[in-house]
Amino acid sequence: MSKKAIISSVGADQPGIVAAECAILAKHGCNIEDSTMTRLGQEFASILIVTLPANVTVEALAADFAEVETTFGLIVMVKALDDHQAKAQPPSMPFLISVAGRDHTGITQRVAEVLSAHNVNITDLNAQVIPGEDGPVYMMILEGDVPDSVGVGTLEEALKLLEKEQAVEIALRPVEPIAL
Amino acid sequence: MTVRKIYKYPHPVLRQKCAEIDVSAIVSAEMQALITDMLETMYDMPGAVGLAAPQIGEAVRLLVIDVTATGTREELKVIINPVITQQSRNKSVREGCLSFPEYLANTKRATKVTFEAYDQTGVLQTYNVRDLEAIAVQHEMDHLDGVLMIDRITSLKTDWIRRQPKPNI
Repeated sequence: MSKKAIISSVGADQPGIVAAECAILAKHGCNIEDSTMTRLGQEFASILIVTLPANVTVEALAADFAEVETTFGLIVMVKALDDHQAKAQPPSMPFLISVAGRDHTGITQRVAEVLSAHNVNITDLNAQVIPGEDGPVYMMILEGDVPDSVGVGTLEEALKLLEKEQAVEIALRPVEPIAL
Repeated sequence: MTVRKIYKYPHPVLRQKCAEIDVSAIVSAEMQALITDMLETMYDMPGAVGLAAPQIGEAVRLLVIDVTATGTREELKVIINPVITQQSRNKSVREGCLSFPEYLANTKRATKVTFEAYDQTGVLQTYNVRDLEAIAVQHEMDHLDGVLMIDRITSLKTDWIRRQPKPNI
């Protein structure tokens, strides 16, 4: 069974972070299996899942990443990833949910709360604050799996109530896979 | 004649389904004044190639397009009550909007569009447009139905792009 590790890094963005981290992975012969790297505000943020060769330990990898942590002033976490079995998920359909309106505290929390109450699993979420007509506008697009047992109609009704409560626009759109 | 204020999201006028314009009223002084205001407002915005009436607070089915964006009015179209009759397959494009002035969006638009609309003299015309002009027409026609760029994107990470500030020269 292959060994895997998850590596997260956060810190002030600057050139060279990705190169330094990838150099360590290359030195140890690690393969990047999944990754997300972005800049949030002025902060660099990345999460990597890597496969380690049999002769490389997570500790050895962590020791090298500690140097990157010091050099770039990052907070880095290196952790062995259990090869656990994914929990069986109920049958579901992927949906895009977009939210937009005047910015105020609590929009994301309430949307997440309503989705959780309907057993929707959030698989991706991005949000931004942009300038608008009378002040900042909050925009969020998330992807979530809506269980078949819940039904889209029920979720739509709950989101319509939330639109009024939060004075935002909420749209629910199916993610339609194209079969090729 | 006036350069009008351009309303930005989330002003409610941008979400209204705009009303058809009475064809007999197109040549009225009031409608001609609105058309003139639309043109002055569009040409006042550097680089603008189109404007829909709701963007200046008028919820009627009127838009103006000039893809030359130079103010020479060579390609100017005043479009009233437009209806698309034919369109090609969609292609990914990047578009801007005066109601989201700091952002661009990746959307999918037909690159060739045939539509019918009344011109500013009240005559029904058929237009065949392509490329930038086709994209502009579809974008502005979306405004007439209260549809905005943010409704056309599927990802803030990949489809929603902040315009680069122009360098100080």
